[in-house]
Amino acid sequence: MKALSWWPVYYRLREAREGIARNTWASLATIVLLTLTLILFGCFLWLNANLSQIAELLERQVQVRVFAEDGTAAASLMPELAALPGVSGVELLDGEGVYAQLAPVFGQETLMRALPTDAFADSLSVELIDPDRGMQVVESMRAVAGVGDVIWGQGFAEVLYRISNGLQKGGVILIVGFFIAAFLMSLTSMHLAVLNREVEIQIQRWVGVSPWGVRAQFLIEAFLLGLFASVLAGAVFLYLGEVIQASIAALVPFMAGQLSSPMLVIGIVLVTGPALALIGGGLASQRAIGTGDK
Amino acid sequence: MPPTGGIDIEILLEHVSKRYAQAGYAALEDVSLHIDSGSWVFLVGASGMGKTTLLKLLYREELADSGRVLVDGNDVAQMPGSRLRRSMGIIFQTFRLLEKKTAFENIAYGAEVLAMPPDEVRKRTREILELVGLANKAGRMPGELSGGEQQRVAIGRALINRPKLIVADEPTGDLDPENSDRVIQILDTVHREHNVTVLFATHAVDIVNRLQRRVVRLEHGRVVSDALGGYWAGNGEETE
Repeated sequence: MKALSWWPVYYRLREAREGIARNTWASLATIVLLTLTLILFGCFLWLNANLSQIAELLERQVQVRVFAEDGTAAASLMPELAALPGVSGVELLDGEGVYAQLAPVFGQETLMRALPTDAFADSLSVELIDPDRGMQVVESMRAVAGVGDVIWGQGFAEVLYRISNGLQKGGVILIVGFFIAAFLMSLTSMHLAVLNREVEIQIQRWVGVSPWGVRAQFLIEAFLLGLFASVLAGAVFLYLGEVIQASIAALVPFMAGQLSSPMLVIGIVLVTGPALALIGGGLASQRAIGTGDK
Repeated sequence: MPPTGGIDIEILLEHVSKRYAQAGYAALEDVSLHIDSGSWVFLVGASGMGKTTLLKLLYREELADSGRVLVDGNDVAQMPGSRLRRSMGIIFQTFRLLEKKTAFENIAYGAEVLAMPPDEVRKRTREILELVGLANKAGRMPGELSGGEQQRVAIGRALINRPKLIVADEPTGDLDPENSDRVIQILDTVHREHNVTVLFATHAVDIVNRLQRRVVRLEHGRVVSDALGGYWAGNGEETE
C-alpha cells in the first residue's frame, strides 16, 4: 500500500521530466538565464553583506587620530580638543591598548617578532559631529599647541563609499534586469509547454482531472527547472566564494576573517530559483488553464 | 469492459436555454428532457441545431443561461466539472490522440492522469484493448492506425475509467460505414452488458434507423420530436 501512495508523485515527476525533455531548447534557455541571474544575485548579496562590514571599517576612518608632539602627554590635549567646534568626543587610546587590539589580527607571536610592546605611542581618537565639515575641524586641531600629527582618512573613505554605493546601485539595476529576463523566459518556456500539451490538457479535463491537477504538471516542471538552475548557481557560487576568499586571505590576511560566509547566500539562491520559476509556471498555466473547476 | 459498479446515471433537463452572445441566436430554447439511467438516446438534427451545446451542458463545458441540468440528481451548475466528468466517457468526432504514445499508452493515459495505480491501469487497458479489438495493435503509434482504429483507441480512453454515462458527439462522423459499425458495436456492448447510459449525437441516418432506439430531434435549439424506437429520415422528417 505504501508503494501505491507514492505512485501519483512518481507519475507527476516522470511526466514533468518528459515534458522538460520535449521542450528541450526553451527549458535549456530558462535554466541558463536563471542560473546566470542567480549567480549575479548571489554575488550581489554576498558583496552587499561584506560591504556593510567594510563600511564599518570605513566608519572608523571617519574618526580623526591625533598624536601629541614629543614631550607632550596626549591626555593633556583632551580638554582643548573636546572644546573645539565640530567635535563630539575625544577618547584616549593608549599604545598598549592598540598593541593588544592588533595581537588577535596578526597573531601574538608575529606581532612580537615585528614590534616591541611599546611601539605605539598614546594617541587621541576624536569623533566629529559632521564628517562633511571635517577638513575645517582638522585644521583647527592642527593649530592647537602640542598637537603633532593629525591623521584623517575621510578623503579615502569618501572615495570608497562612492564606489560601494555605485556598485550597489548598479548591482540592483543589473539584478532587477536579469530577474525580469529570467522571469519572462520562465514564463515563455512554460507557456510553450502548455501550448505543446494542448491535447493532453484537453484529455485530462475530459476524464475529470481538476484544473489544479492539470496545472500541477506545469508547476512541477517549473519547480524542477528552477531547482536545477539554483543548484547550478549555488555550486558555481560556492566555488567562486572559495576562490575569492582564498585570494583575499592571501592578499590581506586580516580581512579574510572579516568576510561573511557564502552559505547563507547559497541558501537564498537555492530558494529563489524555484520560487521565480514557480511564479512563471503559475502565471503561464493560469492563463491557459485557469483555476475555476468549470 | 470492466464492471461499472452497477450505478447508472439519470439525466434531467428542465426548461434549459442557452444563448451564445456572438451567434446572436439561442443554441437551446426551453429544452426539457428526461433520460432514464441505462438508456440509449440519439440526438439528431442538422448542424447548428443545438446537439453539441446540449452535450456540452451535460459535461459542464458550458453552463445554461436558464433552467436546470441534473445529472444523477446533482445540479451540474453547482458541482465541480472535474467531479462530474469522472463519471463520464466523452467521445468526439476528432480522435485527439497523443501522437507520441502507443495505442496502449493512449488508453492508459486516461486513467494514469487520475493517479490510478499502475497495475490496475495495465489490467484495465488490456481489457479495453480486447473490447475495442486492438489487442494485437497495442504497440502501434496513432499514425500507424487507420481512422477507425484511432477512433476505437479514443473510445477505449473514454471507457477506461468505467463511466456511467457515455457522451458521444458525432463519433462516426469521419468514419466509413464499416468502421462506424464497429464503433457502434463497441458502444452497444458496453451499453447492454454494463447498463451504461449513452447519449449519441449523430447525422448518421442508417445507424439511427438500424438501432431503433429513442431519438430526440433538435431544430433551432428546440426539441421538435422525441420518439422511442423512432425512425429518422435524416432531412427533418420523422415518423414512428
